[in-house]
Amino acid sequence: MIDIDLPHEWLWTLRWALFLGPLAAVLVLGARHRHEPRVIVGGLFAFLYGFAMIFATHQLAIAAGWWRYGGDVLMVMGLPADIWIGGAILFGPVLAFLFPTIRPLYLVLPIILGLHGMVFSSLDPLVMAGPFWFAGVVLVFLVAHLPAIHLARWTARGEHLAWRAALLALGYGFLAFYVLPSVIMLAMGGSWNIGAQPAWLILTGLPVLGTCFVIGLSAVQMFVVHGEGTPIPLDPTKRLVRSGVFAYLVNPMQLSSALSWIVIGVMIGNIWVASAAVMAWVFVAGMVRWHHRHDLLQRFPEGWPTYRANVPEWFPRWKPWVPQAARLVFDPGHTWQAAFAGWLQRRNPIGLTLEAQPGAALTYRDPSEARDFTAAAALGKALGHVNFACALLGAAVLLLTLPLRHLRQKAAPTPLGEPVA
Amino acid sequence: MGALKSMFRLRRSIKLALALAIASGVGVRLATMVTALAEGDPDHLLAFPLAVIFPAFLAGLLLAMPATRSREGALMRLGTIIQLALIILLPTVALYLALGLPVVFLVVELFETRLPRALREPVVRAVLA
Repeated sequence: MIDIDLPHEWLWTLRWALFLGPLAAVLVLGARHRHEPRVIVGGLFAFLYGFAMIFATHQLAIAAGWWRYGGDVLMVMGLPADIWIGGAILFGPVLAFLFPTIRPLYLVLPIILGLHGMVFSSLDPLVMAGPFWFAGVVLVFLVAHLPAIHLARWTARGEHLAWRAALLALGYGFLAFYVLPSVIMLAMGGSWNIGAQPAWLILTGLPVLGTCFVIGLSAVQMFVVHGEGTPIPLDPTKRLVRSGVFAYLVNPMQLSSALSWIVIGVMIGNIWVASAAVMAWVFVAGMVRWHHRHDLLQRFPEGWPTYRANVPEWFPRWKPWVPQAARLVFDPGHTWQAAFAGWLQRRNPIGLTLEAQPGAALTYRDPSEARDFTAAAALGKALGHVNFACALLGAAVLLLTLPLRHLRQKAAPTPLGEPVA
Repeated sequence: MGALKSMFRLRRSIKLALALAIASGVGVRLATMVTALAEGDPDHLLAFPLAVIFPAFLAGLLLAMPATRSREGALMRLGTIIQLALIILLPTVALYLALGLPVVFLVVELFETRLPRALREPVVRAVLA
């Protein structure tokens, strides 16, 4: 391991290089791929994911004492913003553009062992290594850099939709609910000192926050399952999604974000973080409506206006809007299936026909879908036809069951859900 | 033959004015950095890439991008470039300006959907080709 003292001027140059080097590289490499929009979008996603996760993992490293950064210029909670952004560019789009066919693990291993292993402890006062710094570096690469490069590659190739959407959701979650509040508090004051808040506030806030997250995550899942795309318009769905939480409101992800910022703001006692909810409205008013007019209306000229005329933007309907009735097949001889069907029947589900078939597995069939949902997934889908509260419960069930099913099916390349017999 | 779609781009004079504003901002910040460095303060030097070069680079990218398919797209691009120029020119409020970037999109949306046509169209004709 190299352990030398570098002059300050060299460290200033290094700090410039750590930001401007990746920036110049991404400009040159991006220009080379300018006629391949999916490659560019993949690079952008990799940057955004890395941006969020580098911040999160570095906060953990700083809190654990694995390393800390010196200086006080452009610092965001102890992390120099230029090094942070430079790292997100380098270990995202740059490596993905530069080495499109080499396995990401083989790309980052030499960097971890060679670069970090050799010079990390020579960068004082830029960065000061503490105990277990190497484990911290490995963690940053495993959580932030490796998935970022995978995300770029999968997006460019149009592969692994479920994993892509999961990484985008994770990245957005950290970006929206950790990075953004941190930057807001940097500008307006405040801290993440949750320990200073009363326990009842935290215990009440967490389940509410969980419910907000269910709304947003369920929307992402519906985009994947029913739209065969991601929630980001740059990697759009192939079909108009009107199922699940979208049967109740048009903007579930924006509502989820707005409510989550309010809840987080209340939990940490910071009005400015809660005020970020206004930004969600601003974003919808300024950007999302524009996207609706110029993308969804163009791609779905018949389905979108009808859907938009029946479903509100922000305040969810109590009962869903279902354009085509689905079927729930159940076994009348099976105790819990019969009980569930009876319970559903008493609640007059909207757009759901119950069909008793002796010996059948509980199966949900939507005529506009190419796949069925069985067992717990069918239960989750059926709950979406009752009312908004039940739909959230059903969404939580689907958020647990569909990923597990996807993991089980990984060996056999079949889509989410069950193929129609 | 398929229908020809309109394309919207910033007028050359507007592009030139924006480029000049950004170049002036970069010049002022460069002078500030050199002065501070001469006085032994390296903070401006360390902040220069992210606080000046990066927004100038983004603005340059937006200026160089091809025409948009929608008018709002071109106006949002214009608003973002102005915001980036302000970020360079006003370092003390740069963080607030960066956080307030979504407001640019709201302003464009309100401009396009709420402003009377008699006021809106002359402005659009003045900035878009």
